[in-house]
Amino acid sequence: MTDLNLELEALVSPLQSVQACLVIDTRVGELHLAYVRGTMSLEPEEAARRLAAANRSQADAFSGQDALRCTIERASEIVVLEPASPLGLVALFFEGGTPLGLVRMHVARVVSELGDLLPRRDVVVPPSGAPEPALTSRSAEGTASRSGRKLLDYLGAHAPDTHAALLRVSLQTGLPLSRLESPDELTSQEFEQVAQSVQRILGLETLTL
Amino acid sequence: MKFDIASTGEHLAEHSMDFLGGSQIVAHRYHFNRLWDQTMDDALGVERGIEVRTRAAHKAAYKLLSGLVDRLPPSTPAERLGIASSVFAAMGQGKLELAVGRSGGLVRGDFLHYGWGRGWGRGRRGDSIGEPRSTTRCSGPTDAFGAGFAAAATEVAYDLDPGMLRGDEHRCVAEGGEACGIRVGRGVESLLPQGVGPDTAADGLPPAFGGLHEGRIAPIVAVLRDFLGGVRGDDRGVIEAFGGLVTRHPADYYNHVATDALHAVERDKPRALEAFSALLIEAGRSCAFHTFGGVLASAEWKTMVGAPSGDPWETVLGCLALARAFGFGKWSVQAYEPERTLVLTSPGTYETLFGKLIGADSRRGRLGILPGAGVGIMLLAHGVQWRPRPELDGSLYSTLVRSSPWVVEETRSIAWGDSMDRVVVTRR
Repeated sequence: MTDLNLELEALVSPLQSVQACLVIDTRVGELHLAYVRGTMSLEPEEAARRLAAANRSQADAFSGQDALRCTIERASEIVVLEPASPLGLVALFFEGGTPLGLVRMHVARVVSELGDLLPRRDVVVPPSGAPEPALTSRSAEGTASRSGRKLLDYLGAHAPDTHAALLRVSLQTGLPLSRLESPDELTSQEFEQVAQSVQRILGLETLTL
Repeated sequence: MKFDIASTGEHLAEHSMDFLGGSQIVAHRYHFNRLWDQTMDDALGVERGIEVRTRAAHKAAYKLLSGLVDRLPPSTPAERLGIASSVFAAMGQGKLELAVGRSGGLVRGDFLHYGWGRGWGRGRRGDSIGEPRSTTRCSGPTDAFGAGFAAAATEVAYDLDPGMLRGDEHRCVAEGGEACGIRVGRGVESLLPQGVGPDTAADGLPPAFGGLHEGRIAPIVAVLRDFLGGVRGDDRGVIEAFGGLVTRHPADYYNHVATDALHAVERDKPRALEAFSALLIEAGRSCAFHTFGGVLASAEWKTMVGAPSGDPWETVLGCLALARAFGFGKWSVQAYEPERTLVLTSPGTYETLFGKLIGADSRRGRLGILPGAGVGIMLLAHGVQWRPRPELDGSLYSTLVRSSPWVVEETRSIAWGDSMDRVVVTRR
């Protein structure tokens, strides 16, 4: 099971009335992540495809809007389809007879906490819950001692492959490892190079300095 | 048309190397391929990285396909294009629809390994290994191998010289498209499709030799080769095996890319050579952990060889059998003291052989597969709890690497003129 599926399991499994949770990538109409307690009558992949197609049809019927919130009630289960982001549709399967108030509460909670588990436009694993790096400003010609150290600490804390992060910065920037091991001595120009590299490795659109 | 690599290829048994169309081929999992691309793009920048990888694929594929066509009965351009797309699919690279003529054309790619493979394994339940998510920002097309292959296939089909055409991927599923699109058009430079073949390998390699416990390795290699011989791309051109995506590539592809990237780093970023070398070793280490480890933990391994017991010797020998079955070369154990040291030798790997025959001395100390795998094998032998079945994911790998006591030294290499490859892994 992938790390992200484990994260989804950690989020959903404590909710006893939830039998399954599918996160669907609406760009391709296919399963992105799944948690299933026990078994489903359909394979999660197939269920995701069908639900995505049904949701698209309904959206088309309602003036071409994007994914719609939808509740399906059957004797054996209640299924809620909830758009969770521009690219992500969540399908939550509840036990039949679960009070709808409880269903809505669980749906709201799961959707609000999915965060980085939702499909993204890129395939970067973003630093989950990572705060913006609080980096000090520096003078044009001076060194960037505190900033450089904080920048690399930030990278070390959030890089996907932490053990290789500094090597990647060196290779991307052309700066020797010895230079990066003393970030106190980075010049402003070197700092800019390192900041761009950190941004690229973490897949950040912007890096607030 | 399904292409059967096993019956068409050649096997240099004494050196555990495989050839197709006169080109050496090796198997790798998606995880290694992604890391390889990432390292080359870190060295070259994404745009230049795609260019270098496409050119390397073009050269390697031209050599492979032209060699293959030469070995088969005379064929028409249409038949050759059919052979090319069948070979591509059989190698687990995906499906190519080559709508091309002498001057090029458009190619549709479905299930291409690099682009489509990025999303593989996400959302699959019961997939204990899977392919770790890509950590590289996807800011453009990623299927350089497919683009270079498509250009080469067109040239070979129409008896054109290598480089008269070029391939560019203009649409990629990794960016959200339905399928990948490759445009084959006029080329801008002639290419020299150098590479390693069975004859040059036999001439260039020293006499084969073995190591400790050969009697235990050989039967596993035989079982694995038998299994792999029957493995080829499915109707999508995809090989799902051992809990991951498996491909075969011409070894020349990896070697051309690494050589070109090395030259660029030497020229443009000489102070980053240390990092480049370390990342090549990281690719080898990660390959051993994720690929060899993934296979050892797979259902297929359990069926063929038996569930891993956790005995370190068994783990080490299993990894060497895998390296041989994947065509990396005849890797052997010269010495092994559990928890202390591992010495691996080989008459040559797919990297060092290329280095000796084509890359000359330029890649001295810049080869990663054997030294990196040496460390990765020690991580598997002494860092993984094999019972119950382990979760060999990125998190465990990072944890083990951060606390790894192992250091490796490449003491000999045929690429430098020695009579063997030899790496020594010890505690720091």
